[in-house]
Amino acid sequence: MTATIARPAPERAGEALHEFAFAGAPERRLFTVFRAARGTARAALVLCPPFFHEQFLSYRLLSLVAARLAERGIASLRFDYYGSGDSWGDERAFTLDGACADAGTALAEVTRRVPGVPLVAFGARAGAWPAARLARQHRLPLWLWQPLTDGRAWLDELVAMDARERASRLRYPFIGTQPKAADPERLLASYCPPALRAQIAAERLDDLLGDGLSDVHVVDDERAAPIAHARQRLALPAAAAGWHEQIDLRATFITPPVAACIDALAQAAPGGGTA
Amino acid sequence: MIEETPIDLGLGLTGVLTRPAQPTRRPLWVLLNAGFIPRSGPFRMHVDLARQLAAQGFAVLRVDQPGVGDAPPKRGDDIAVIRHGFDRLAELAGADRFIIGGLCSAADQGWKVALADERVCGLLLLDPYAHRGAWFRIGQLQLLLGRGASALKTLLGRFTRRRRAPAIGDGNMRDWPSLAAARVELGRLVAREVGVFALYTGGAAAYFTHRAQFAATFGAAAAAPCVHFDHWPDCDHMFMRVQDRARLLQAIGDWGRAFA
Repeated sequence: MTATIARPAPERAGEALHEFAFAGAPERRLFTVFRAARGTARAALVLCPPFFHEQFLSYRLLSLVAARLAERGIASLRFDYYGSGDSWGDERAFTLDGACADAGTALAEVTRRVPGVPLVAFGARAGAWPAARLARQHRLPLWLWQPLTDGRAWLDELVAMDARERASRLRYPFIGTQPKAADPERLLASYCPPALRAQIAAERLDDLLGDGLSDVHVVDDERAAPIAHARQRLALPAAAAGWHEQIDLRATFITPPVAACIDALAQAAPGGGTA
Repeated sequence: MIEETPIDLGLGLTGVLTRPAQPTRRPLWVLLNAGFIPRSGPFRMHVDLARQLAAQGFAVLRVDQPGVGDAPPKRGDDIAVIRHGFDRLAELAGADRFIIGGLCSAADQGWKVALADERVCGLLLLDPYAHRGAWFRIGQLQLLLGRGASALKTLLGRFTRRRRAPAIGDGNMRDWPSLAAARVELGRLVAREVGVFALYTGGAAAYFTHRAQFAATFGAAAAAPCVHFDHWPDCDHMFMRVQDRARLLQAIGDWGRAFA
């Protein structure tokens, strides 16, 4: 069910733009951004975003990725998980299982908007996990952007980053001699109780890929280890891959190397010549 | 039950409008994106604030300005874009008075819009402009002394280090008025009885370290009854800690009651 749609303002009528809408069941409404393809869509993707603070850090980047793909004939539906971003729900409602269910809702929504078009599951960072499950369940090609391969390792990074931020005199100049206290239910401001941490720690991308997923394309930091099951690996320069390494957001641009990665993904989509 | 509607106000201004359960004639809040962070705000702060204010009976728009979030690139005059957004909100939501602002650059932008548009009746300023001056230096000294032994190293370093080019700071990155202009401008807002909520966090310590800076910056207008000022040195610029966000929402909610 689509609850509400933002109509383009009059001066933008006729342009191939994005539409905001709430989708999903009334008790679990998800904020979605549908971006139509320029011309007839040759594919449509569901983009599962990163989790926690990485959602807002990546927001502009993924919006620009979707816009560039739209210019190359690929429609997209981005969404916020329930309890995150602009979706409904308190942050305490965010769970890994819920994120996977929301990816399914988003797939149904993009199918409704562009019926009969080949679909792709796309996951960024931790969004790789729901995207991989979606791809397995529906036998879809899978595109991954800087995927997290090991939930435990990511959790360790977040814990270390959280400790750094709590002790940072740049963040808390008046901190005195003691860091801010840790909150056992939060990591870097996001609600992440022990049960959710345990779920995240158990996530391993290799286990999710494996058999049954043969069409996996990965855009990753040039410094990252290759992913065994990837059919195509596109390298991002370190400068374009480090956006998640600090919590303060800088301006986001699609630089030529990033554009080349997006264009290579577009080529890999049905009708793109290398699919 | 509150309702949320995606909204495209034109000229690249897009966002989400949160409405209270009952139709309202109260001023509509416009929360501008903070820096490069999209409309939901740092750690969903704008989402939580919008829903809280809607529960208090206000309509609230959280919005991406051009170049941020899903908005197209910046093309022209930001202030004109926001005022055009007010016109559209008047058509779509029947709003004729606005409370505008937000964090950091959103405070700077809200300030300019408030000066340019008399429909603004409230201004939300989180880490807005302040002049450094003597009180800033006193605050810096207090801050260093509060750090114990490590302060000595810092102070010694300042005297012994070779002079470097000044770092790029808020003064370079943000669109601030001159000290003289800021005083005149706040005076104009106060004359219009625009309600002002000005809060400085510890995260603004690069330019704000002492409570007395506020009056020293803005002069007599700073003491007007419609101006609410506070300094939260223990809080960071992005309100990372949940306690700080809760405290902020409570403070803004309390201040907002004056517009009910």
